[in-house]
Amino acid sequence: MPENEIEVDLAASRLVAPGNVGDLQMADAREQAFDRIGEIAFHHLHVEQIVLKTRISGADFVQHLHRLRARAQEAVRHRMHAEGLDENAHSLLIEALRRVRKVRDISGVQRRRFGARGDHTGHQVKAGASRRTRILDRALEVLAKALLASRQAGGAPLVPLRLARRHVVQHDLDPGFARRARHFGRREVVGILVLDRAEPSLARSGEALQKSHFGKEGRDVGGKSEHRVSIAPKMAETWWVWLVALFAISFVIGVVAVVAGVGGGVLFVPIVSGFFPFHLDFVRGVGLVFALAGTLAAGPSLLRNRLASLRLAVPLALSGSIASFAGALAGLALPTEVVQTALGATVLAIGLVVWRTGEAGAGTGEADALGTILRLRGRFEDPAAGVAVDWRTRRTLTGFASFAAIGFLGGVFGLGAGFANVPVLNLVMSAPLKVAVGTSGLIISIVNSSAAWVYIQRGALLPALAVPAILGVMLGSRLGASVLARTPAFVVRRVVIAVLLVAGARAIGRGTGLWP
Amino acid sequence: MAVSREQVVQELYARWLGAVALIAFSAALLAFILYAGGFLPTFVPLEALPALWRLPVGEYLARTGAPVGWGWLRLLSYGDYLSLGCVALVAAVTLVCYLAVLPMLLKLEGRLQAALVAAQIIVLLIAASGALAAAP
Repeated sequence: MPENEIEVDLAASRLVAPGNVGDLQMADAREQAFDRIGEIAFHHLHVEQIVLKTRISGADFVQHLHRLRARAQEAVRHRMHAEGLDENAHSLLIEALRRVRKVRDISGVQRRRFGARGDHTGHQVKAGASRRTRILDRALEVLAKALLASRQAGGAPLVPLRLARRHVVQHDLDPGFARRARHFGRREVVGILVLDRAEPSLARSGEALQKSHFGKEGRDVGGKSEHRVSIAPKMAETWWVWLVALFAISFVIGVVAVVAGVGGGVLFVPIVSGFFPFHLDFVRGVGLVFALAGTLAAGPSLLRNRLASLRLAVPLALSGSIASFAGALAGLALPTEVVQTALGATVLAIGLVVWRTGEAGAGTGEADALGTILRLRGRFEDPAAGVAVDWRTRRTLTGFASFAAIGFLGGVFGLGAGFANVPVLNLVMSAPLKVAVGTSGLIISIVNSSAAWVYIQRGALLPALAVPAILGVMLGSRLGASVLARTPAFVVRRVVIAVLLVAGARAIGRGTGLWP
Repeated sequence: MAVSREQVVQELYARWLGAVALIAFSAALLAFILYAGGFLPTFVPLEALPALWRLPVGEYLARTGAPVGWGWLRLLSYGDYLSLGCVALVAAVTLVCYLAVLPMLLKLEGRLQAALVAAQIIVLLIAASGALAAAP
C-alpha cells in the first residue's frame, strides 16, 4: 500500500503548543517508572536526619548582634502541621530494651502540634508528617522514625505515621548570618543542617497536590544562642570598657607628658599598641590625631606669647610634612611585625635620647646662609628670667634633614615626634629652649595633619578610638599644666623613661613574637 | 609697643587656629556623643568593634565594607562616619589656617614665606585628596 505522506500541523489543531515541535518535551517512560518506585517505601523511612556541620560564624557580629542574642528561630516552611504521638494513649507494645514503642492502632494516633523544643540547638527535633492527599498514598502507611535529639534518641518511638510527601524543614537560622559567615571567621561553631532523605522525586511528586495545604509556621527550637554563637556576648559588651580605658590612659599621658616635657604621642603609640587590643594600624592613626589635638589646642597661646615662631615653623614643617606623608604611606604598606619591631627599637632609642638630652644655650652667634635667606631669627622675651634673647638659627640645612627624618618616623609610627623636635631645634639649630618647645608643638600640628589624612583616607582611623584619646589628652594636658609647678619633674621624667623602655621592649617583643 | 610684621601674621594665625580648632573639637565631641550614645545609626556597630579593631586595616575594610578615600562622605548619616568627618575637621585645621593667613603673609612677609606656605598647602591638599593615600 503506497504511503500517502501529508504534513500535519499539530499546533494548529491545538494538539501541541505552537512553536518548534522539535523542542517539544515529552515524558520519559523510564523516568516515570522510576518515579513510581520512589513512591513506595520498603523500609522504615528516616524522613530526616541531623547532620552536625561546622560552620564559620561571626559575620553577624557586624550587623546582627541582636540576633545572636536572640533565641534561635526555626523557620518551618511548606508544612501543614507537625505531628507527634500521644505515646501513653496509643503505644501498645513497648520494647523495653530498645525503649522503642510500636503503635499498631494507626487510626488512634492523635496528632498534636509538635512544639519542637530542646535545650540546645544540637537537640534538633524533627517530627513532622503532613497529610497526603494522593490516592496512592492512602494505601501506604509506613513506620517513620521520629527523629529526636541525640539525648532523646534512646526513647525515640517508632510510630506509624502518614509519610510526609513533601516535608521540607528549613532550619533557617538567620540566613543573613549564614551568608555572612564566610566573611567572618573567628570561631567554629556547630550548626545544624536537616536533610530530607526522601528522594527528590518523591518530594517532587507530592508537591503539586499538597502545596495548597501548606502554611508557614515558625517554631522555636529553644536553642540557646550560646550553643551556636557563643562568640558574641562578652566581647561585644566590652567595647565601652576599652574606650573608657583609652580615655583614662590618654588623660594620664596628657598629665605626664606635660610634667616630663615630652610629647604625648611618643608615649601613646607604644603604650596603647603594647597593652591594648587595638591593631597597630589603628593605634598609629589615633596616635597622630592624639598628638595633633594636643598641639592644636596649645597653639594659639604659644603663638600669642611668642613661645612659638611661625616663621621658624613654616619651612621646617614643610620638610617634615612631606616626609611624614611618605612615612605614613610606607608604614601602612609595611608588614605589621616589621613596623612593630622598628617601633620598639625607635622607642628605646627615644628613651635614651630623653635620658641624655640636655639644654643648649640660645644661638646668638652668626646665622648660616640658609637661615639668613629664610630669616629664621626672632626675639624672645622670657618673663620668668626677665631677659630678652635675640636668636637666630644655625646648621639650618641639618635641621631640615633632621625634621625630614623625624617626620618620616612620625608618619610610619604615628608618633608626635616632639621628643626629637625639641633637641634638633635647641641643640642643632640653637633656638632657645622655650622657643624650641613651643615651635615643636606648632610643627607637630602641621606635620601630623598630612600624615593623619593618609590614615583617614586609608580607613585606618577609627573615630571610636580617636575621640576618647583626644578628649583624654586635652583634659590631661590642662591638669598637667596646673600641677607642673608642684611636681618634681625629674621623678616624672625618670618614670617616663622607664615607661618608654618597657613599652619599647614590649613592642619589640610583639613584633618578633617573643612577647606576644 | 611696636608690633613686628611677623607678629601680626602670627597673631592672625593664632586667632584662626583657636577658632577653627574649637569648632573642630566641639564638632568631634558632639558627633561622638551622638555616635556612642546610640542617637544615630552606625555603619559598624560599636558592639562589633572589639572583634574588628584587632584586625589589620585591610582586613577590617574587607569585613566591614568600609570605604576608603572620600567614600566616607556618603556615610555621614551614620554616627561613626559623622564622627570620622569631625575628626577629619581636626586634621583640616592647619589647612584652613594656612589658607587664612596666606594673603596677609604675602603682603607682609614677602614671596618666599608665602611660597613656603603655599607649598605646605599643596602638600596638605594632596594628602587630603587621597590621590596617593587611597590607593591600597
